[in-house]
Amino acid sequence: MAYSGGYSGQIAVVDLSTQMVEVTSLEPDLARKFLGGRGLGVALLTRYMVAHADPLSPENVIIFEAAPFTGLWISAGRLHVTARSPLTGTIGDGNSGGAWAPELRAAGFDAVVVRGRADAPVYIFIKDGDVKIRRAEHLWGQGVWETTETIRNETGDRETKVVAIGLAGERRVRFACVMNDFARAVGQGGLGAVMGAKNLKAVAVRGRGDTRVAQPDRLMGFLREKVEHIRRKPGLDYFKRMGTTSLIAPSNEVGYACYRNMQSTRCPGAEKLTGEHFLNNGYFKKSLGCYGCFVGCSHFVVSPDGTYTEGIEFGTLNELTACGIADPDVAVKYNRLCNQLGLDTFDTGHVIAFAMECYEKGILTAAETDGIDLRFGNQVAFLEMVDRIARREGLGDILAEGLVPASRFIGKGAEQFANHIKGMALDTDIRGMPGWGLGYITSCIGADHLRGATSFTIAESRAMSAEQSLRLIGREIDPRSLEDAPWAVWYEEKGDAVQDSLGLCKFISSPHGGPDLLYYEDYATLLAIVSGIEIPAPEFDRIGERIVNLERAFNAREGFGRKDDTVPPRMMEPARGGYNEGKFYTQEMLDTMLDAYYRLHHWDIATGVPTPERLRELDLPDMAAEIASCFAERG
Amino acid sequence: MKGLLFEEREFPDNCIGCRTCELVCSFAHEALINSEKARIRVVKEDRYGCSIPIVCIQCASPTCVEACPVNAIGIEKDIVVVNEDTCIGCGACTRACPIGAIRIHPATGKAFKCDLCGGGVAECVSWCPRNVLRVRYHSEPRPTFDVAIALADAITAVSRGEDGDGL
Repeated sequence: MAYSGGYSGQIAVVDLSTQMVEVTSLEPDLARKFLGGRGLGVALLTRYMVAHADPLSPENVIIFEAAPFTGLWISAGRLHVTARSPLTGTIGDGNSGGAWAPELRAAGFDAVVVRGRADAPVYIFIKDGDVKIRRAEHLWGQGVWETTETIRNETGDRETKVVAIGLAGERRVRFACVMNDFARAVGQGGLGAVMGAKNLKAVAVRGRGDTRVAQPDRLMGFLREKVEHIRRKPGLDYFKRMGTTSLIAPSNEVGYACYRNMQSTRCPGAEKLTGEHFLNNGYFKKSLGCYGCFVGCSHFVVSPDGTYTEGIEFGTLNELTACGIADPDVAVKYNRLCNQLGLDTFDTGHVIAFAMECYEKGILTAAETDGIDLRFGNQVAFLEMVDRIARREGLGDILAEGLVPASRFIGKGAEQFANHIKGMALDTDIRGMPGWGLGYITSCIGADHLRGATSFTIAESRAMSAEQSLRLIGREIDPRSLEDAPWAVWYEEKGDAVQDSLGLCKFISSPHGGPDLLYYEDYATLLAIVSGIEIPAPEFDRIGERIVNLERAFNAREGFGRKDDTVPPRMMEPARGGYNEGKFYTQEMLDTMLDAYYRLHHWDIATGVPTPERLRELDLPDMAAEIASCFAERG
Repeated sequence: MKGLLFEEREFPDNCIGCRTCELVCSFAHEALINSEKARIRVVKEDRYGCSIPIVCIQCASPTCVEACPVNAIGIEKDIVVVNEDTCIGCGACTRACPIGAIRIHPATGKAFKCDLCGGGVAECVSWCPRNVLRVRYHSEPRPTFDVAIALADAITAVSRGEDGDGL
């Protein structure tokens, strides 16, 4: 065994076409270069997926990963999932909480790689090192919750953890998500459709093995000190009670709300979607937390009519307001419906908001909506559309393809109302906030708020002091400055990649959770304690950069580059109704930021592609060779 | 008797189902992380938002002691303890305990249970993020049955809602 802790050292490679299972070892070099989670995911994807594989073909590969900190009681239980995205065509990956990844580690694996396509529906069951492919015809068509319960019964163990898709994944809705532990979602990028296209209904796992620790005498003291430190973070107590619903009020105050398909950055009646409203009206029954979490920002929610679900996060509520709806009961219904159908609450809400604007502007008529009165604010129509998208019925079938194909199909100028970056719905308004916006614009998976978007630049936020900014980024950041935005994003995206690769929750570690929480020094110490692997703190910055470069190169190989680092038409119109009233992006502004951002990365400025030299410097020789031949082909 | 009690209060001071108690328990006793080797177990039902820690409450007249055919379980300083040298791993105690707080250790094959960390500060109590675990004097058997009743109540309370949506 190569690892004295942290890693289990094994990867299961399952080929659904041949029904063969191969167990390979995780090379220590790969662990040192990519850690685990997101980093390991992109490394394995480039190894196992042939270039240009259609995302919904058997040649695509979907990978489920744990990380070196998985299973520690410092909010580090994230499950990371990676594949080529059927929504964007870029790399598609994301992570979710719950208890699946710790169970995988206890079952003896760091990652599960799934390739090929089964002839008929199947699920994979992993138990204590043993991997089996089982029939799943009887589960096809079932909701996520029933699937989970049936599989638990079949495995004879209540503790079996299940990753599953709902109807949306089966029908290859391009923003179907991967669900785990009932209500947890790897939401964006349509990874559920990749499972569906493989005829893979679920991956169940049960592990009873030990997770060893390389330096056990140091672990308890270190974690105690760090947890106490993080608990002193201002606002954490409030966050502990409210979770991300605490962002509803600021989103309307400082202008990142998406009211009526982003026609305004302020939603009337949004106070009904705040945590206070949910709490004071008895919706929040319990606080819930992920595996080993000391925060517990999730909720068990029950509405007055008895509809129950876990969750209700800010993004879900924000997309509801994008459809002109600010009703807590609809929020609970929407959340539950999406959990059961396996739909991403971001893209689903946003694509309906897009259709609503088309309807109100006369581009879509009642004939095309099958008589559904798709006006903004129509709650019944909204919930009906959610269902039709998952079932691919009528207009739902068109919307299920995602914003870009749907707007092209509808035509008549509908593209003007499709708010996306690289095909993924823009989940917050980014006007007037270049540091926040540039993170979305350059994110390798499409519009996403967790891969470089800097929350400390929103609305002159005081989340980072001048001293911290100088120390961590090397310069003071003016939140409105186009020159500073690239520096902020450059700092944030490397750190975010490292957080995702260690299995950490973004709320309790830096940079995303705020400055001076857990950061590179702590990562270095904890990695040594857990696994015995010594990586100097500054090296983590390089690891983050390596991961971002490999993702970017993966995209470049598929034809993505500077032309795709852009904003939708609405972001070039003046914002209305909020803090950033009158603000908008111009091509000149984008060019200013992108030139500086590519320069920081030493990428080719004309194309936005990582240069072969840069890739070689970051120990990515194979990808460097591929990119070099791409450059040669395209001249 | 003084034992570990699960005392849930109003939102947000409830068990959040994080299983930190299991993790620190196994680590404190075995220097490794494995819920199967934890003396405290959380019964979870994610669909219904239920999570309830199950742990020995150190009864004054324990059924496990009564059931043991080789007298391997006794009470020392108010803590119910298993003598591993005497225990034959037959599992009679696990069947006798009304709340499932004593189990057979997967590695040693002997009965194992909460030892209140030897009487000092119990690790699970000190780590519980919502302070729902307390070491307290109690009069049994009330707390014993609370656990099972609370779980059943919690599930029926929410499943009265709309479960017939066919999804």
